[in-house]
Amino acid sequence: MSEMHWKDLKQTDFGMLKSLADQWDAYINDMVAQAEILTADVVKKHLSAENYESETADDVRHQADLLADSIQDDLHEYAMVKIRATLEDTHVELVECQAQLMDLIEVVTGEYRFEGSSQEPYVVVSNGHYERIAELDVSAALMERAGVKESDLVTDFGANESRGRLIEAAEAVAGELTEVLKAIMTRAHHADDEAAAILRSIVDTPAEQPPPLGATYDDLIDDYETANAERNVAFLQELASGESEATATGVNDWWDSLSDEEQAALIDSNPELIGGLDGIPADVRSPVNYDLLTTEVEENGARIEEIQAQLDQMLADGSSSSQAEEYRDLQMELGELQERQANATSLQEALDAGSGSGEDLFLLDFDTAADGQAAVSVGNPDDADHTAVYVPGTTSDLEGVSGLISDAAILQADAATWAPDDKTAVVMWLDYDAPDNAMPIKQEGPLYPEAYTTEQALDSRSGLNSFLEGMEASHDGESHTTLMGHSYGTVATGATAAEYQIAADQIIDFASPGLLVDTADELSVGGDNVWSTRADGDVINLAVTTGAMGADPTATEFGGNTFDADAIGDGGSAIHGGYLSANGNDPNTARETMALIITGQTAGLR
Amino acid sequence: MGQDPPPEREFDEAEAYPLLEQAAADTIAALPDFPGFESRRYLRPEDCGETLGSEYEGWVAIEISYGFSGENSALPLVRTDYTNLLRQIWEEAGFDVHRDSIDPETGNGSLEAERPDGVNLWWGVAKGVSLTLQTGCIPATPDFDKPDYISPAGGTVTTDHALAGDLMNPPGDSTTEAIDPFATASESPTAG
Repeated sequence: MSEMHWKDLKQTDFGMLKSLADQWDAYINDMVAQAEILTADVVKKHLSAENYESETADDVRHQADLLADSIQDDLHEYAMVKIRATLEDTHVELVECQAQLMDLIEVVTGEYRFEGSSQEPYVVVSNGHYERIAELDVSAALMERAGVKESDLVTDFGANESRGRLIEAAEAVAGELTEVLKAIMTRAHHADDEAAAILRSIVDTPAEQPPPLGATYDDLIDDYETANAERNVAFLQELASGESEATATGVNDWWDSLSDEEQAALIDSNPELIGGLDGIPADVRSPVNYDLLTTEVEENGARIEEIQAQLDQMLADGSSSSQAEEYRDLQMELGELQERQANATSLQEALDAGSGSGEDLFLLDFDTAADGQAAVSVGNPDDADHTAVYVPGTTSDLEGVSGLISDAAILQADAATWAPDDKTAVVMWLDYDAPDNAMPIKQEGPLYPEAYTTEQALDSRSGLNSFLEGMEASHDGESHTTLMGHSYGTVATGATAAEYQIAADQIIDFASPGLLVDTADELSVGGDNVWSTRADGDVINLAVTTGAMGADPTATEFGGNTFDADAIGDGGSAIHGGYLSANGNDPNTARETMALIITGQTAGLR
Repeated sequence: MGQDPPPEREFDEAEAYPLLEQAAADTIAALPDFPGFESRRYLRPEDCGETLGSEYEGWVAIEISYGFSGENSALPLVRTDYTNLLRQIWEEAGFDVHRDSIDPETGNGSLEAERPDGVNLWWGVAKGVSLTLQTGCIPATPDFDKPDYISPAGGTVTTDHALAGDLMNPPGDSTTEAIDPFATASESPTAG
């Protein structure tokens, strides 16, 4: 667990991480060049079969090739992926956290001060500020916050009462600043912890080197070559394990370092590890996932038929009673498979139907278990000038994935229309377990609507952050990314952007019950880059008033930007789902504004 | 809360496409030195029952849009002259110009006008200038799949996303009698 204190974040020159990364980069390039010289010059020319022809010479040439390959593999896996990419990514994240901290320090200087430990930092009103409050020498902003007018200060009673309100307001501001400070330090700790975990993972059993030439060479070389052939698979398994083995940048660098043959071999042998691995390019993940989906539909279908035949047989011959446990196990397996198959076929049908605009659909991840999850992009995010990642909300599942993809297609079409010279991709990201219900339903015990709890949003953070990092890592050149959420999807996006230094430039939330923060500045993109809207009459207002999901993001005090959305639909629930509607009876303000934000045309919006 | 029943509409889903294409053609007929559109898009019909409630079961909303290229969108002719002309034409025609957010300095924003038959005309100006036509909710046509091919307004587009997205039948693949988009009386104020 990182022990970084805010003072450490403030004072440390993180440029050394970048310098180290650059040095490793230069070292890797030099060593790769040397290994290539070994193969191309030494082995193929000076020690070529033309000059030296014998069984021993063959062994020496083969040994040199193996050594050169081993050096390059070690360089790629350890030096490039584990060390260089980690140093570089950590540098970027910590520098961003440091900049946010410096901005915060500028805000607090003179009136507030930081206190507390590395794990529990907080902000308090400074003694000087208390003294100035006592003298009623305060800023207009604080007076407005406290609801104090100049006329209140005329009488002694009014002045005293105002002092109390000003102190209360200043302490409330300190509380808000505390949340911003904690969010910054949380993100810095995450960066620190992840880097440490990845660098620690290097201290494991290093890969074997080729056996030395000598008496036992012939006995050992076959085993070495077998193990070496599996080396890429073993490393892929490590990367896909979910433990901190590399950043998404590291994954992307490693994938790029493989030859076309090596990549094809891994896709052939372990597609299930490639399809959802963040950092692998979209045009690799997508066909892999399409094939996996097709295979799953076929295999599920075959197994379902098999089980149904077995169950029918057991009923017919009475063994459904005599072997009741087996019968029951088969029924449970059938139920689970039928659920998976329904999800798989729904996803397959939605993909087959296409985007409706000719834009390709990229299947970046999927899981057919339970309610089902998927990430589908309209357009290729790796070469898009603008990418939006859209997180839908409550009741979203694979059964309704067609409608979710249509929403992404509308956002993409609007962006392409409002910025025709720019390529835009919109990813529908349902790679989390969205709540099943928003209205209270009766269960055993108290009423319990899933959407009223934060658990699913909090569970989504790591996966959403990793996905965004993956998008950035596999993007050609600089990316411009907008993270968007609708309804409970905004709770997930807010929770993620508070916890992690997300690889996104701005956030749009529409119909949000709250982003699990009190102010926009707690989000890693910064308050200036948060855009919120909620239409009048939206049923989500009920949740906003409870404050259960944080502050109202459309309130002035939240500190973000707001934009208009018209109430499209008859009734609160319809309005809640009508933001992307094509209903021509109402103006289309929200669709237009979101397209402008996604394509970076925000100049006229603030 | 009780829902209002859907209003009477003069056309249904199958009739909507030629009607909207006619509206687009009529709109650009009034625009001098028209450089042509770069793109045409259709959105999938929206199920009004889902968005507006059960009173709208069996109703759909149709939207088509045309966009200029980035280069043509930057022309003062397109982004300023056309905008001012359309505002004037639509107002003089008695259309309900229910949104005019065009910024006088930058020229960016939107102009929206609703015709008496309920068709919404949406002229948008930003890096891209576009014309979008929407029906609002209209009765779905039973067994209707997608419209037959209609030539784009202006005669041609660089990219026909509606065709690429399989939201209209390809040319020559008519499933019904040929639809003459000029056969019915147009609501356009500039139609001959």
